[in-house]
Amino acid sequence: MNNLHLLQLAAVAYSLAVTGYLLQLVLKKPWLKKLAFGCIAGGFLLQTACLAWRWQLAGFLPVTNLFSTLFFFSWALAACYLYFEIRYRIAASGLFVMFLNLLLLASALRRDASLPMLIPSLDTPFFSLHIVFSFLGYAFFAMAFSLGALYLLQRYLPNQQLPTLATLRKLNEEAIFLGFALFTLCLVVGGIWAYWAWGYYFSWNIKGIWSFLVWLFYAGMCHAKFIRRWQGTGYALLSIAGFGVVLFTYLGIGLLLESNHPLE
Amino acid sequence: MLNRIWNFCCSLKLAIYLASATTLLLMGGSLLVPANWRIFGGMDQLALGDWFSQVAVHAPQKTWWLYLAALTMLLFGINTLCCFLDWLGNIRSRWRKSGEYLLHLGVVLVLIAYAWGSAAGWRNNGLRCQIGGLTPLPDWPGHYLRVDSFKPLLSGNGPPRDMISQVSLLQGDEVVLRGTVQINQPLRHKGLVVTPVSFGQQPVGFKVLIQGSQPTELIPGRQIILTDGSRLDVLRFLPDARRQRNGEIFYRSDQLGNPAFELSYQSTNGQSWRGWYFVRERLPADLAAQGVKLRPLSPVLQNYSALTVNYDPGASLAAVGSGLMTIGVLLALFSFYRKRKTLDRPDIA
Ligand code: HEM
Repeated sequence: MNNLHLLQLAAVAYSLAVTGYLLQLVLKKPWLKKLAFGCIAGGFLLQTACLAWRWQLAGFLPVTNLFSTLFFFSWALAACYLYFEIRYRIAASGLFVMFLNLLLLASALRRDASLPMLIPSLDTPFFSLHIVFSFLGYAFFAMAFSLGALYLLQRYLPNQQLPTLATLRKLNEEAIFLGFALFTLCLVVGGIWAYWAWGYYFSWNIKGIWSFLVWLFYAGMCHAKFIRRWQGTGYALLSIAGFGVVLFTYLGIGLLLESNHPLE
Repeated sequence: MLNRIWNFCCSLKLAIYLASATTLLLMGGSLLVPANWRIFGGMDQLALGDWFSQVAVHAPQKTWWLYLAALTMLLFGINTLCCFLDWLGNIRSRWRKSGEYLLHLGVVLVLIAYAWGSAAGWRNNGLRCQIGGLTPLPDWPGHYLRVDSFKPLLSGNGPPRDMISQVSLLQGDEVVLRGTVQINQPLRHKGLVVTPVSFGQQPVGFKVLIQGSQPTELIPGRQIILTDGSRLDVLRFLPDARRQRNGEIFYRSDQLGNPAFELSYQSTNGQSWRGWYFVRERLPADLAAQGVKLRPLSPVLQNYSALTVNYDPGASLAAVGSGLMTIGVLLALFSFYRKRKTLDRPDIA
C-alpha cells in the first residue's frame, strides 16, 4: 500500500458521500444524511493520513507543485465543509464544495504525484503557513460561493429542503469573514517570507497583484454586509463573483498568463 | 459643514467605492503585465518610485492605470485612517471593536510604509561582489559591500542548497556592519536588507607572458616592472569592451567577449604612454615600439557572490503594521460570534 491508495480511498468515500446527499434530497431518509456525513469524515481522515504520510516522506509540507496544491485545496475544502456541517448541520447545502473537492481530486489523481525537490527558498515554515492559510481561505470562499448560489436558488425557486434565506445569509457572511481572516494571515506571512527571501514584501508579479485583489475584494465584502441594500441577493452575487476572482488567481493565471511567482 | 466633510471621510460606502475602483483598475491593468514584460518585468528590481520615474513615464499609455490605482489607494488609505480616528474618538463605547480597528490601523501603517519605501528606498538586484573586493553601493555614496568569504552548499545537480556569504558593510574605511547572508536569512540593518541571489566566476584580468618570460597576471591595480626597468600599470579591465568610431571605449557586459585593458607605460628615459590594449588585437603600436611584448595566455577568473541589496526605510513600519493586522484579525475572529449573537454591527441604509 502506498500513500496514493489512501487518497484514492478518500476519493471513493467523498463520491459515496455526494451520492448519499443527492439520494437523500430525493428519498428524504435521515440515515442517508448520516451515512454521507460519515463518508466525508472518513474520507477526510484518510486524506489527512495521506497528507501526513507525504509530509513525513518529503520532510516538508508538500505543496510545491500542481498535484500537491490540488490535493491540499481539496483537503481544505473537506475541512471547511466539516466545520459547517458539524456546527450548523448544513448537509446538502455544502454539496457544491464537495463537488469541487471531487473535481480537484479527480484532476490531481491524473497527475504525477512524485514528491518534488524543494527549492531552497521555499524551505521555511513561513512558506508552509502561507500556503496553508491561502488554501483554507480559498476553501471558505468556495463555501461562500456555494451558499450564495443556494441563496439565489432559495430566493427564486423556493425549496423546503434548503435552509432558510436568513440562515443562508448568516452562513455566507461567516464564510466570507473566516475566509478573509485566513487570507489576511496568508498575505502577512507571505510578505514576511518574501522579504526574507528576496528583500521586498510585495511583488508586482501578476499572481501577487491578484492575491492582493482577492484580499481587497473580500475586505470590501466584509463591509458590504453592513449596507442594507447589499444584503441578501447582492451579497450572494458578490460571493459568486468573488470566487471567480479566486479561481482566476489560483488556476487562471497559471493556465492563461505567465507569472514569475515562485509557484507558477 | 466640517461635520459633513468628516462624515464623508469616514463613510463606509466611500470605502467600498474606492476599494471597488482600485480592484477594477488593477484587474484590468494587470492583464497588460504579461504582454508588456519590457515595461513591467523590472518592477520588482526597482523601488516603485524609481520605476515610475525611470520606466512608467516613458510608457504612459500602458501604465496610466497604475497612477490611478495609486491615487485610489491613497484615498482609500485616508478613508481607513479617518475610520480608525473616528473609532478612537469613541473608544469608550466601542472598545469591543478593538480587533477590527487594530486591523484598520495596521492596514494604514502598511500603506504608509509602502509609500515611504517606494519614495525613499532603492534596490540593487543581484550585485556581483568579488570575494574580498569592495563593491560600491550605487545608490548610497561612500558605502561599500565586502564579501569576506563565500561558501555554496551544493546538492547534486539541483540548485544550490545554500549560498553563505560573510558580508561587511563599510562606510568609507570603517566597517559599520558585519554578518552572514544565507537563503531565507538576510542581513538586515536599519531598512537595509541583503539577500543571496547566485554565485559564479567572472573574468577580472588576463594571465600573460611578458617579454617571453614568467607568466604574470594583469589585474587592475597591478604594477609591473619590466626587465629594462620600465613600468607598466594596469588601470582598468573590461571583460567585454567596444570601441566607438570616435575612439571612446564602452563597457558591454560582464561576460568574456572582447576583453580590453587600460594600461599606462613609463619608460626609464621618461617617455610615457596611456591607452587601451584589446587582448584579441595586436599590442598598440606605441607600446610595441618601446619593445614591450605581451602574449595573452588565459583569463583570470575570480569568484563572486551576487547579492540583492535593498533599502526600504518603511520596512520596520510595515512590520509593525502587519503585526497589528495579525492581532486585529485574530481579535476580530474571536469576537465575531459574540457580535453576531448580540447583533452588534452597523446598519447602514
Ligand atoms: C483595507 C482596508 C480595510 C480592511 C482590511 C477592513 C477590514 C474590516 C473587517 C475584517 C471588519 C470586521 C467585519 C465583521 O466584523 O464582520 C471591519 C469592520 C468595519 N470596518 Fe473595515 N476594513 C478596511 C477599511 C475600512 C474603511 C476604509 C472603513 C470606513 C470608511 C471601514 C469601516 C469599518 C466599519 C465601520 C466596520 C464595522 C465595525 C463595527 O462592527 O462596528 N473599514 N473592517
